[in-house]
Amino acid sequence: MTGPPPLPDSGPPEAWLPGHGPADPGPSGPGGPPPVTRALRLSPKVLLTDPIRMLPSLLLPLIGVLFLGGFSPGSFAWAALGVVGSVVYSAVRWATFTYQVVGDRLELTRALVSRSVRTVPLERIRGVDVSHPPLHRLLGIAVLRIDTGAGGDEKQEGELDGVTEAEAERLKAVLLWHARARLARRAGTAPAGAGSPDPTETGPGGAEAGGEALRGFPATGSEASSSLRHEVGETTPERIFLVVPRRWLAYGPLSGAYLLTPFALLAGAVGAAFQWGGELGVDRRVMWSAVEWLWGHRPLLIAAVVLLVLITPVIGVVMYAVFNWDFTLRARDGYLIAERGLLTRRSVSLERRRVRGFELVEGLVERRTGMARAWAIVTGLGDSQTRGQLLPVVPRAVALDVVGEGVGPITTALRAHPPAARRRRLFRAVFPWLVVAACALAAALAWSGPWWGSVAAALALALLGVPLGLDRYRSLGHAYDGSRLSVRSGSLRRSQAVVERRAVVGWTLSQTWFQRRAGLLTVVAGVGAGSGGYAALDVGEEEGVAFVSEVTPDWLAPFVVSD
Amino acid sequence: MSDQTDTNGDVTNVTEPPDQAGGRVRPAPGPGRVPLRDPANRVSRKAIALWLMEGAVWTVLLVAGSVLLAGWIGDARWTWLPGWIVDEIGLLPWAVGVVLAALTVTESLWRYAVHRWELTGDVVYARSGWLSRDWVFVPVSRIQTVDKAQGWFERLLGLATVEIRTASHAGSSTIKGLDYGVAAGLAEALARRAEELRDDAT
Repeated sequence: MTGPPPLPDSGPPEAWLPGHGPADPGPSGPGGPPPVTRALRLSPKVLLTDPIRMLPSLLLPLIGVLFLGGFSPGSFAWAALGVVGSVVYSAVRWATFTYQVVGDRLELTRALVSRSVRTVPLERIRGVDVSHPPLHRLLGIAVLRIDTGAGGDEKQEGELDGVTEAEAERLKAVLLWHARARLARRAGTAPAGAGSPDPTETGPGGAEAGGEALRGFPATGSEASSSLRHEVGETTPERIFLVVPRRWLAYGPLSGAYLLTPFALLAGAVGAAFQWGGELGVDRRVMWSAVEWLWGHRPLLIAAVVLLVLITPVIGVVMYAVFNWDFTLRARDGYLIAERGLLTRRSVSLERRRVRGFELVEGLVERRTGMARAWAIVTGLGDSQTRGQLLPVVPRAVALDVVGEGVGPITTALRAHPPAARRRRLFRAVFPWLVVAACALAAALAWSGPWWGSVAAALALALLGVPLGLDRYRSLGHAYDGSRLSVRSGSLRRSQAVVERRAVVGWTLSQTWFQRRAGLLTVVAGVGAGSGGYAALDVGEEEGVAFVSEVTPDWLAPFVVSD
Repeated sequence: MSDQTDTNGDVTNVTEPPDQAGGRVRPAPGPGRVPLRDPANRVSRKAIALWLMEGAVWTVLLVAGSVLLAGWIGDARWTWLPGWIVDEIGLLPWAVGVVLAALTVTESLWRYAVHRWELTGDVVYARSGWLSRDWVFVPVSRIQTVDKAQGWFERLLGLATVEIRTASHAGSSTIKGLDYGVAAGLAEALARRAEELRDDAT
C-alpha cells in the first residue's frame, strides 16, 4: 500500500477546519470525484497526555532509580533523563504520525523507523466511537476509534488518540458520510431495489437503506418528529430515546455488576503492598508482622470485614454510576448513539442499517424488581459486550419501549415449550448434584470424616436445583411475529434475543440422545451478528421444525415430511 | 436404504430432489420422530473406513495411556484403592481396548447411516452425528465461503470435506467423508451459485 507521501508542513488541523464541520463533509457529492484531504496530524496536546499516561509505568523504575542511587544528584539526572526520554518519544511519535482521507480510504501513516501505512477502506467503516478520557477532556481533545468490524482483531482497527474536539466531530462526520455516500451511489445504480442486477444488493432491506441514507443525510439538527417511522437503516433527524434518570443509577448493583469491586480493590491493594513494598525497601517481614498483628486483633478484623460487606453495595453504586452516568441513547443520521460515563465520557455509534435486533438480559434480582438491561445485536461488531450496550439497568417496561422504538419490537408473546422440556431442565439441574452426593456418600462410608459435609452440600445444591430447573423451564420460549423471531432462556441470567428474520443465515437443529428419548430438539438460528447463534432449547420435535418453517418457509419446504 | 450412494462423482443431479415421490420418505432411524425427511445423498462408503481409522487412533492413544496408568498404579499400590483393583490393574488396558474398539465400529457404521446431505432449492441440507444428531440448513444465498479440505486419512482414501461457511457458526455446515470428485463438484457448484445469489442483508 503506497499512498501519497504525507505533507510534513501541513498546518495544525484547526487551521484547515471548515467553519461548521458536519455540514461540510467534503467536496464531493455521491457521484463526484473521490475526495483527497491533506495529511493531518494529531493535536499537539498529545505531547502532554502521552507522557502523563506513560507515567504510571515509568513511576516504579524512576523511584527505584532514586532509591538505588540514594537520592544522589546522579540518580536525579537519570530520572530526569527518563522523563525527558518519554517526552521526546511522544514528540517523535506525534511528528511521524499522520492520517489522511485518500479517495475512498483512510490512511494512517506512521514513519518512525520504517514507514507503515494502515489503510482503512471507508466502506468498511461500521461505526466511529469518540471517547473523552478525563485528561483528554481537560485539554479539549478526544480519542476517535474506527470500528471496521474486523472481528475483534484490534490491529485491523484505526485509533486516533488525541484529535481536537472539533476535528473529532468533523472526521466522524466525514467518515460516516462517505460510508453512506457509497451506499447511496450503490442504491443509485440499482434504483429498483429487489430484483435489480446489482448482485450485492438484492435484499430489499439493503437498497432501501441506501436510498434513505441519501435522502436523509442533511437533516442534522432539525427537530425530532414523532411521526417518523423507525425502520432499521432509515435516517432520521436527531432524536433522543432515553436519558437515564440519575436516580435509576441506584439500580445498578441489581445486575450484580461491580458488587465484587471492593474485594477486587482490596486484593489489588494487598498485592500491590507486597510487590511495591519490596521495591520501596520495606521489609517483607514488616508486612507479615502487620498481617499477624491484624490476625491477633480478631475483633478489628471482623469489623473490617463487616464494614467491607456493608459498603459493598455503596461502592457498587458508585462504580456503576461512574461508568453509566447520564446514559443517553439517541438516533442521528442513521446511527444509534449511546453515550455514558462520568470521568471518561464514552460514545458508541452503531449503524442502524447493521442493527439486526436486541438482547434483553435480566439477572435473578433484576427480575424480582422488574429491571432489565439491553444490548444491540449488530453485524460485524467486535467487542459487542461493551460496545453494543443499548441500555443499562432500567425498568423492564422502559427497556422494551426504548428498544422497541430504537431497534424494533416483537409483537407476539413467547410460546412455552412442552412439559418434557421441564423434566429435562429439572433433571439437568438436579441430577449432577445427586451424582456428586452419591460419590461423596460412597467416600463418606469408606473413609467417613469430613466427607459427610460434602454429602450435605451436594444434597443442598440438588435441592436448590429444583426451583432453578423449574425457573429455567419457565424462561424457555420462542416466537415469531412475521418479521422478527425471538428466543429466551436462562434463569440466573435470563436472556431474550429478538432478531430480524433477514439476519438469519442458516439453521442448526440438534438432538442429543436424551433429547431424542424425550422427543425434543434444540433449534439454533444462525445469525451473522451478535453471538452468532440464538438457540431455542428443548422445543418439541414437530414444533421446532414448524418454527423453522414459519420463519423461513422457502428453505425448509422441500425437506419437511407432513403426515 | 439401498439407493443413491452417489459415489460416482456426478453432481449434476444434486439440485434435483431425487425420487421424492417414492417411498423414500421415511423418518430418521431411531425412536426420534423429527418430521424431516432424509437428505438424498449418503456420504461415500469409504467414510466408514475414515471413521474407523480415526477411532483406531484414539483407541491406540487411550490404550497406551491406560497401560501407563496401570503401570503407575501397579507400582505405587495406593492404599486408598480397594485391593482387588490394584491386583487386577493389568486388565485395564484390555478393557479400555475392547470397549473403544466396539465403540469405534459402532460409531462408524452408525455415522454412515446418519450422515447424509442434499442440495435442493438452493438450500444445503445436511445431517450428521450418531448418538446425538444435527440437521443443518444453509441457504446458498447466505454462503460466504466454500472450502474443500482433505485431512491425512481423507487423502489416503480419496475423500474430502466440504466446509460451507456463513457469517455465523450456527449457520455453517461441514460435510465430511465425500468422495473427492463429489466434494469438488459440490464446492464448485455452491461457489458458483452463491456468487449468483449473494445477499448482503446479513
